[in-house]
Amino acid sequence: MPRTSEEFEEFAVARTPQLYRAAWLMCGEAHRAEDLVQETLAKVYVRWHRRLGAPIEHPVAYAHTTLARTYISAQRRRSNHETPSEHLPETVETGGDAATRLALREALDELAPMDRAVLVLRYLEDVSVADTADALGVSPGAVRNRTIRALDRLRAVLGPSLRDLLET
Amino acid sequence: MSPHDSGVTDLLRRASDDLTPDVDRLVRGGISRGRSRQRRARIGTTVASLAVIGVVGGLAVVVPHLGGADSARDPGIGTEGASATEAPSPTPAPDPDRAPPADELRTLVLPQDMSDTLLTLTGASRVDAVTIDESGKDRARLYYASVDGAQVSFWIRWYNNPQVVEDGGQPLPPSHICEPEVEPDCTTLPDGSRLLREEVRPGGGTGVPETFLERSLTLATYDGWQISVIARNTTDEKQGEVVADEPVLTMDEMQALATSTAWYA
Repeated sequence: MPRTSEEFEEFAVARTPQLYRAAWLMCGEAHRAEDLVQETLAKVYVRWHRRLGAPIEHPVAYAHTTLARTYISAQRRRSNHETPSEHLPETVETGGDAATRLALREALDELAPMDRAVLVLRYLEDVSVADTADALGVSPGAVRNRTIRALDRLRAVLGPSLRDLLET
Repeated sequence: MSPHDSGVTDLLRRASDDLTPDVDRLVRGGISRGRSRQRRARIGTTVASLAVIGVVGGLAVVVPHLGGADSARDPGIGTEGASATEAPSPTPAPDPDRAPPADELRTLVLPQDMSDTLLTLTGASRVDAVTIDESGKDRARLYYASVDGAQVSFWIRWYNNPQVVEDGGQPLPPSHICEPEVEPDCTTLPDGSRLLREEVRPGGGTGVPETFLERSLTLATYDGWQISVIARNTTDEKQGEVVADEPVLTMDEMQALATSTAWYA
């Protein structure tokens, strides 16, 4: 039996902050992240309410897989034909971990979209190599290689500040 | 997980933990989009059937949008679309999950010929070639056409070029662009190509008015080309002026454009 709209809303409210964090780390800015989260919620909503077929077995994992696939799919569809624009001042970065966020965003900007998605799934969501590979449609070996490459790139971009960021 | 691994996890969490999204707005937006997808899915069966019928053999669906007295667009835009699937496919197995080998890739016409054809088929007042990749990598070409004063972008590239595989990815099949199970606007054409039709929505972006609309369509052909068509109601992408109530090409016109055989030598 399909789950109810109330249950979906409850699920969405509970998961949106974490989905948004992942989306922000993948997209690097608020507006694209918001769009990605809403697209993800829309897809989960449709699947959630489908009358035929079994209900989603693991909604949290399904939502995060959908987020990653939607991100990669959008990158493949649109990245090469949209006019690049600089990061606009979407919010005022103040206090707390704003410096960390800015430094990390600049470093993540150096990574390929797939590498960003791998890092977010592996390290923010703590998804296994096999499940990351399945979510992104690549081999486990490619996930490992991309992880190594992405971490190397982060170290190269952040340089000594990486150690500071990790220690502070 | 090694100490360094947990350090990266901590770094990602610290960089994102104090982000404060407007959860209610995002959930409302997600539900609204989801309901919209559901509605489209319900009527989508009919629409998709009509679209396929229109592509396969009929001009009845397409022509009324093209041949109006106020339209300068070439009726060939519809017949080209029809011929795209009427012509026998060189690949016998129309499987959207099959990654096409490089030797199946059709050759494109010359960039200037593509530009001229775009001009003719859309009735544009001008067409500008923005990107022409001659490096042999993904062979991307991007054109901006001015149709009834609004911008239409036409983008084609080789989605399954060798670099994809060299870069650690698996060879991509046409199905990589969308999944019918989660996207009601995603369909498979009779030749195995995968098509995603995204109806009108705000262009989005920082400071972009809600009146800036776009309609987009993405086609991953059975042999390895990806074509994206975006029609806008504005003179430029995310900027410029609104010149029409709706994006200037209908979805059927865009589909006919994307599935045209005129792009191939």
